[in-house]
Amino acid sequence: MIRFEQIQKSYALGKTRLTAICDLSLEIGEGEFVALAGPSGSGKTTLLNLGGCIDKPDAGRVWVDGEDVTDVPLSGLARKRRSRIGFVFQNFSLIPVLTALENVEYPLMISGMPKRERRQFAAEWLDRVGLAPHSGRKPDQLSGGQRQRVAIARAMISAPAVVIADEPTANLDSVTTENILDLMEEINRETQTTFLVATHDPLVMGRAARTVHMRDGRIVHVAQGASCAREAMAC
Amino acid sequence: MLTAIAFRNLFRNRRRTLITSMVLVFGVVAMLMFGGYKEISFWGIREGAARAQYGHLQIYAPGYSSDDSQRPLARGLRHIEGLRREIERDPRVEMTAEQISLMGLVSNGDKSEAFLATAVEPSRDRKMPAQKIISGAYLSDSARDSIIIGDLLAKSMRARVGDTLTLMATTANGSLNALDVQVAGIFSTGTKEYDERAIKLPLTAAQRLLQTDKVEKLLVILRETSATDAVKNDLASRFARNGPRYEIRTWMDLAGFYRQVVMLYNGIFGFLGAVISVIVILSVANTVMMSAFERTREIGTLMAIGTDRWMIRRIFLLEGFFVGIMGGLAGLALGGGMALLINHVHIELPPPPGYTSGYRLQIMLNSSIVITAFLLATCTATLSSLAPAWKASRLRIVEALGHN
Repeated sequence: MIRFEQIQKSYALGKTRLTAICDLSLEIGEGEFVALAGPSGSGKTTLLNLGGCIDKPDAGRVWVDGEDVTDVPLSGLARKRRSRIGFVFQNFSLIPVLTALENVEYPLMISGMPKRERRQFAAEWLDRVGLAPHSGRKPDQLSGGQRQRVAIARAMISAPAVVIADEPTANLDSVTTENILDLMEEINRETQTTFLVATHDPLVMGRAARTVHMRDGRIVHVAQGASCAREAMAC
Repeated sequence: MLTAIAFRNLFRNRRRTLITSMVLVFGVVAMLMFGGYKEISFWGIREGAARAQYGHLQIYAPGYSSDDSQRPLARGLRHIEGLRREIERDPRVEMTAEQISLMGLVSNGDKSEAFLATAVEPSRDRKMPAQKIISGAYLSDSARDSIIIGDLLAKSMRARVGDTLTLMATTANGSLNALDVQVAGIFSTGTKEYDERAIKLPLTAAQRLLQTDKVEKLLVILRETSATDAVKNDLASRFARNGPRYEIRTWMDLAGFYRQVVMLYNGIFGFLGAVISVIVILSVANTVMMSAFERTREIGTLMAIGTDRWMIRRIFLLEGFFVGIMGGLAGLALGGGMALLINHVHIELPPPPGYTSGYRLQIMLNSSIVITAFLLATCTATLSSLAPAWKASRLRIVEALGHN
């Protein structure tokens, strides 16, 4: 589903360059739930950006959903992001002036789906994440957990091949985190959507089929299944 | 939904939107006030020139403009009753009036002054109120040798109502003639240079003074000034077809002052419009730019989830457009109210240079001024959003998402 091949990526920091990812290769299969773990600055978010087609590597190649996107300009990847990739952000990143229903509906609107149809899809997804009674509320009238559910519904409404989630539980309490993870796990299981999640949270790693530990832009360890959480706790 | 996003964004920072709208309101009100003042000024000068001074059309004898004999009425009109009846049958024509312009000396025995006189048909000229009688009475058809005289000329001659003055002028044959006349009234037009020299007298008196039975011109007064060119063309075609080829001039040919005022006011109005547009553009651009800066992360999110650059631009352009609509409508409401108030309270302005009396400030709004002001507000507000919209759409997604 997503393949990174010998990725190099660095950023300018003043007059020097900061290496974010160094010679990294990783393959994530269809329907996999993969956690990216590691301290801040380890390259997790950079790798998510490359897999989400919102950034380009300095060297190496990136395949997403069977397409080599390395040389496609970012502006040309808007359609792919719209239809094949869902995003969930740490700070929810909902559009504040839209209601929960409109936020969920938004990706279908920019894809050109007729209003009646997309409204129905959005209502179904809001119902699925348990927010049907709050469909008319704006983000500032929702709790953190509710906002993240709206964000997940928004990410899923286009039936994407992959969901990119950057610290999706960082701003949530543990009960809400469990609820959100239940929801993501359920969606992953039922829709076979690939999840690539950057996190510090052992609870997330505990749910991941595979946890990729990163440090200084390199993969230092890959843990499978239940061992993820234990290893995370040990870290 | 992009429209909804743009519209609702205006209310995220209400104070800023209000301030920006106020700039637009100021611009629209300024344009309405000056445009309305310009319009009433043009209307006043235009109608004054056409109805009280020149007539909408003036008809002269063939060859009048090329005559260089230096003798008055060498090319005058004679026996034109049939022509007048025919012209007056046209439903667009209100009336016709014969006139002679002449000059000479006016004397009271002690003192002489040069005068410029207009000889008129009193009953017709009464309907063309070019002057205000400030003492005595207007000319009458029965008092054949009476005149009315400009107040400044009267003052200079120490003439009063009822006094007898002598007019001297060169006759149509080139000799000198004099006529004793009685001052029936003293008038003022408010124009200093004119009132220092002006006399009006009945046509018959002027013809006796000039020893002629001709008139210089036939004025045609129309019901609507806008019909001037059409009536002129119809008459010109008729004259060309049936002869004689009378010469025709329109009020616009004769009213050089009107053309100068139009040019001056249009220049000032254009400059003012440009200044207002620049203020509006800078203000709205600043607002939208600040709004875009504050929403950098949000723009990044929108782009990450697949919103293309054109859609981002559209949101910001729509925001500018909506600000323009709101400011424009509020400006029209306020400007319209101010125009009503100004027209209601009778504000008197001081006399312009060369005039002796002030005039009332009035604002005349028409659909053209209102539409222009509204469109200018909307268009400039939308155009102001171009640069911020372009900038927002060129953000790098990763940097925008990391923006705090």
